[in-house]
Amino acid sequence: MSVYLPIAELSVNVFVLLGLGLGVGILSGMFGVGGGFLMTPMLIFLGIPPAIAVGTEANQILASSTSGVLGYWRRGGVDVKMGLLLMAGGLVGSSFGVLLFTLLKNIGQIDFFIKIVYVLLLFSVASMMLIESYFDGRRARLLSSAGKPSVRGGKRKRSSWTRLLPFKTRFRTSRLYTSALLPLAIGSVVGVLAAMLGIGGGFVMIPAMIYILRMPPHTVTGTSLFQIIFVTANATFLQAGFNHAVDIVLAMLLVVGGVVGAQLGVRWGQKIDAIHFRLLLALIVLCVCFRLFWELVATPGELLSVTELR
Amino acid sequence: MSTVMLRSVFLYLCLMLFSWFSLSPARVYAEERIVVDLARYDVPISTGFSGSNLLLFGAAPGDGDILVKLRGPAQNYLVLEKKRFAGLWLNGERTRIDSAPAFFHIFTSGDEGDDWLSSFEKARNDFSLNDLRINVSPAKSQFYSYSKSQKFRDAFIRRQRNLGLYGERPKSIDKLGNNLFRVLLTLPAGLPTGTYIIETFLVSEGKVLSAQATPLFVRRSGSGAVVFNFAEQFSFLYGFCAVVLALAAGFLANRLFVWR
Repeated sequence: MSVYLPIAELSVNVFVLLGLGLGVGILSGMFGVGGGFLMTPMLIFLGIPPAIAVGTEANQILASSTSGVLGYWRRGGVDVKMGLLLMAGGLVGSSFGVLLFTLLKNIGQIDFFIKIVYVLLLFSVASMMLIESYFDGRRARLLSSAGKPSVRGGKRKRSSWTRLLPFKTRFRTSRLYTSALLPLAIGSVVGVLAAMLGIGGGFVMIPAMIYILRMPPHTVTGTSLFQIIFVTANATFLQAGFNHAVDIVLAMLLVVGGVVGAQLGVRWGQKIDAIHFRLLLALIVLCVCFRLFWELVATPGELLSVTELR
Repeated sequence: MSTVMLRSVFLYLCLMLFSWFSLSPARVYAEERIVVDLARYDVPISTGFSGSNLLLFGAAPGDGDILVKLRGPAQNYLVLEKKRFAGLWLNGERTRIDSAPAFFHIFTSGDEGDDWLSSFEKARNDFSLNDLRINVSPAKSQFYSYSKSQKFRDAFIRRQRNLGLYGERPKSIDKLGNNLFRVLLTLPAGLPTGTYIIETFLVSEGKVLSAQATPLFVRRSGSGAVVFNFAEQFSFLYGFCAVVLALAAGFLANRLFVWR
């Protein structure tokens, strides 16, 4: 059974889309990643124009982050003040991202740009995960042999440059006292990525929150999701307004699959061996990365690409 | 014989000749006129559209060949040529193709190899993909050599063919008896919307004897049309709705699954 996507203007099998949403949803539920960085390349592989894949994915992430943040909100895992500062940066960043996106679209380089940035991003994510799972695996073996309690982190090394920044303010929920410029800057960088790549940016945001802002673990994910809602809402709105790049039908089909998948993923994630599955995820990401990279380096069968002009 | 009689006979002959010359083309026209009709005049593209068939039937006198030309609305295209740069392929030269048909199919009763049409008629009427006129216009007042613009043209037609938007279907028209014919026009899933012109030609001995044009309306219908028009005309309001819908979907999903 195929469904006609009104904005992408093509017919795609419904079950392929539901299955894709389900698959990426399972992975995101298992590993707590947003899944946008996997979904957008997959949509491009399906034949959805890259620009529409990006715009629609922002819309889908908005839905999945909303369902995700509510749980953290109830448990007090959202640092609203920090979230709002990240959001302020994110709104600026994502608006700038959509602007840049429109510019690149007009000069005909958006498809290339999306692919090359994805290749770099996916490669760094995959190598980060591989390194992390290697060290986690070693630590697990060490712990089981020595029987010692976890010594994770140890004494935190303070980075000196963040303390020199002005506009210091107190974040009660996160028990932090740091400069307001930091979340603004981090938010805007991630906002640019989110708007241009169709991702929530959690996998860039969360490491930045942990290592630069030094936020405690219990507020990191919730606050990240909280600001993603505003950034993806802004990106959706602007992408639809300026680039006609949001396909509601496609987004809703992905949301249905994604929501069910995320629930299954959370349930299965508690039973599985996390280290090995993170290795698996890293390999999946690497495969997607190489597939995209191949599209950029392989001599294309057709040197001339044709697109309809509106 | 009187001169009066001679004059009347001469006048009569003149009248005869005159009527012969003036009426005969009309009579031939009336005899060899082609009559065509469609099973439907519009093709609605709904959300579930995955291609369709449209029956075209008609009558044509004699044993001439039938040719049906299905031409979609005019559309502008951008052609980008990929160039290698530091090992990566990225878009280089840009070329426009202006007002080419978004859809172009030729159905014929004759065989492909048959030389049943004069090349003059073929070229004049765009009777094959080879003869279809395509305007390749380079950006920024450049000038393309024939071979270069031919390269863009070929790539464009290849692309349209691969998408099922352009094509030639020889021997696709069934002739029933001496006069009647029918053809099932196949319309693919990615059918562009707009006003189509279906032209049917009766061809005999290399010449077009008669032709008839019929419009066909391909339009979005149902929810797909509503969504598309809304997104085009009120793009920011559409964006706002997309945001609200996603928020609602998120809340609903949380209620259904996460809440225990």
